[in-house]
Amino acid sequence: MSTNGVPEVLRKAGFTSETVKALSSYKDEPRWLAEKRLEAWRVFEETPMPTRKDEAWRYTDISELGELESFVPYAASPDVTREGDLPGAVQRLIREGEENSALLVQHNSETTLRRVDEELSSRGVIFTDLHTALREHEDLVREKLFDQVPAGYDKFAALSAALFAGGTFLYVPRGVEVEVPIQSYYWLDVAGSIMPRTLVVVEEGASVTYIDEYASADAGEPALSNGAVELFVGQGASLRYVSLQNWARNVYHFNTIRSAAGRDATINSLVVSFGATLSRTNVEAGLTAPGSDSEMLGLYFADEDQLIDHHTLQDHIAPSAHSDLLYKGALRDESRAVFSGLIRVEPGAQKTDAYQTNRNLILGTDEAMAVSLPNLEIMADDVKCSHGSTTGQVNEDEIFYLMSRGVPRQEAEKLVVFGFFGEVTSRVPLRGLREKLDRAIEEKIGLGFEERVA
Amino acid sequence: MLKIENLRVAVEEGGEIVKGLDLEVGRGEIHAIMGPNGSGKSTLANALMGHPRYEVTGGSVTFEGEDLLELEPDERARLGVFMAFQYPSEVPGVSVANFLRTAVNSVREEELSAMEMYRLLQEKMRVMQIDPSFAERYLNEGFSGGEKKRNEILQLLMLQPKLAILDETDSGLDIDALQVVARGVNEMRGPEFSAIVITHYSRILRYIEPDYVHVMLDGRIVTSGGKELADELEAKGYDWVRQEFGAGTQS
Ligand SMILES: Nc1ncnc2c1ncn2[C@@H]1O[C@H](COP(=O)(O)OP(=O)(O)OP(=O)(O)O)[C@@H](O)[C@H]1O
Ligand SMILES: [Mg+2]
Repeated sequence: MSTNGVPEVLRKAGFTSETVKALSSYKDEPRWLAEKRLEAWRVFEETPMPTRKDEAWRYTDISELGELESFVPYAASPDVTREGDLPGAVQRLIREGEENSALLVQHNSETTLRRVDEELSSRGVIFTDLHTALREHEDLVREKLFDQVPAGYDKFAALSAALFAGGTFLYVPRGVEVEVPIQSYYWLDVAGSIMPRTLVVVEEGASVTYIDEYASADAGEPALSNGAVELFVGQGASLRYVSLQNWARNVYHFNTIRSAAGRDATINSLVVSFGATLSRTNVEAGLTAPGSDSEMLGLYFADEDQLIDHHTLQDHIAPSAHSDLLYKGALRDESRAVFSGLIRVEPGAQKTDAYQTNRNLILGTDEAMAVSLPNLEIMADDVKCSHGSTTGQVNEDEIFYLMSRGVPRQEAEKLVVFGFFGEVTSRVPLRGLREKLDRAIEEKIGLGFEERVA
Repeated sequence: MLKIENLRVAVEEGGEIVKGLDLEVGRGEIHAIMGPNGSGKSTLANALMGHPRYEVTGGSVTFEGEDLLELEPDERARLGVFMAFQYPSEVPGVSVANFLRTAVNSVREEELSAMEMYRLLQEKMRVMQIDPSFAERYLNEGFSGGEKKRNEILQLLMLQPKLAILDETDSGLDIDALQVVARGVNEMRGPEFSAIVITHYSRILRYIEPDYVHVMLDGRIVTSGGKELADELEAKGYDWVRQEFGAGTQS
């Protein structure tokens, strides 16, 4: 690891205001940002750690995490000049991922590799880490940074604003249609913390697919991933956003993804949660202009003692907007899943069309538990809204039916689970990604989940 | 080829349903089983296929010399046993084509290539007069009653078993569909194919001619005969059977 130049205070366990200042000056940040970070730090300090007494954390106990301040704030990265220098595991993630036209790799707290197809740059697409973006495109960044996920959102958002490092800035200028997806990988191989932050701006009439993928090597000791994702999609523009969380089991993952949509804009999001010991993701789609459309897909698979929590919001502020949410999850072993979804229709958001569905499949166990809390809050009268949720075991009659045709139990279980997830994956037109998801699901199923005599 | 001796089957909430049943099915033979609602016909079929909810509490079943009761359902299928379900399950998200590919390759020694599989499926769907678009539909999901039954026989044709147990495959079929289903089964007929046809109506037996007809009552076969027994039953009803062979006459 090259620790050249990383201030001592960033490498020691414990966050303080000194850490925040040291990070700002190490990154040579503009004053306004240094001040914002310090302001966020004060919010962080003033905000108590959430407990199960807080409504939003009722079913998610994070007490075992201890004090957030106790993590090492910054982890340096090895020097990389070409893709071949990346850790083998990262090279494999890239190889097995979606074809891409631009690529960013963040290893621990720093961005180590960036590749952007010439064709994209020539059309004005900007894709770089946030620090570089702040140097080279300060005005663009300043206008939007912290706008969707401000420090005041919650304690984790405050920490992200105070101490984010690395991160991604993607800017697609007006009218530019990017055909081939753009991808960021976040790789963590030390105990400590990673605080990536994504800022995507898609200008009027432009379109792009962007993927954030998180993966790590298990460092044994607990690690913290604290992210924030801000998505801005202009008038008539379209964004497909994928978040694929597949951390090793030593990681505690917190992430807040929020979007704002312009008139007639389309946002398709897919949030996948496979990894981490505890994973909490807030996904909030702001239907902020008339005619905007948000498809929200979620896919999760919890095993062992994992806890996977999604809190979603379909925030209908403008009239005549449409949102459609489908989150599906499988649980095995002693795992837990929490889904809490709210459709909120503000006064004046007439002609809203909003749907929300959560389905959980429990695989061969009595120990796993899924909590599903669908909610509606409707303050307009001319709207179409519906929500539903189901949680159930794999149907033994279905398994028997498949087995009676010669399909071994393990294969039958696989067919049923893939069938269950197919309703989500079939809606994502990204082949490489789908294959990656299928492989991850297959790994989770492993040798099957039927209790077997040893 | 199939030998059932003194078979007893119980279900958790219903107690003993099949109460000492004997039946022998030879190679190439077609046997019909008739009997009133609740007499245990589906229970017998499910037990033969190995449904986990049907517990065999006594007796034995051998198929080509192998102890069938020792085997998992998929192993029974690979030996050549097939059951057409009275109420086929719906399996969301699993397409007919994908399912049949998995199933056919599980029972065959050598896997079929994608092309061979495609051709085979097209051919059998034609026989069953199933629209090719059904290949991409999810298994039985939203199928009409008759479509489900035809889909069962499609699977029979794809898997080419040695023994088929057809549990009321004729129920709920219109006249044309009944003929299609019968044609499908008859395509299988030959010296190597045996079948147990469970039915309430003699009509299907005019298309699929049985060698033997058995009457099941309260968990046992109480009388057997040739195909004329089916007509006699239809004419005289089960009260006649109960009087002649009813509970108490055999124990
Ligand atoms: N899983 C089960 N749990 C409880 N009772 C059952 C179960 N399966 C079957 N039974 C009972 O066993 C008896 C026989 O049922 P079965 O389905 O075998 O009858 P059947 O002869 O096929 O009738 P039908 O002609 O109506 O199809 C019935 O009384 C039924 O309620
Ligand atoms: Mg029956």
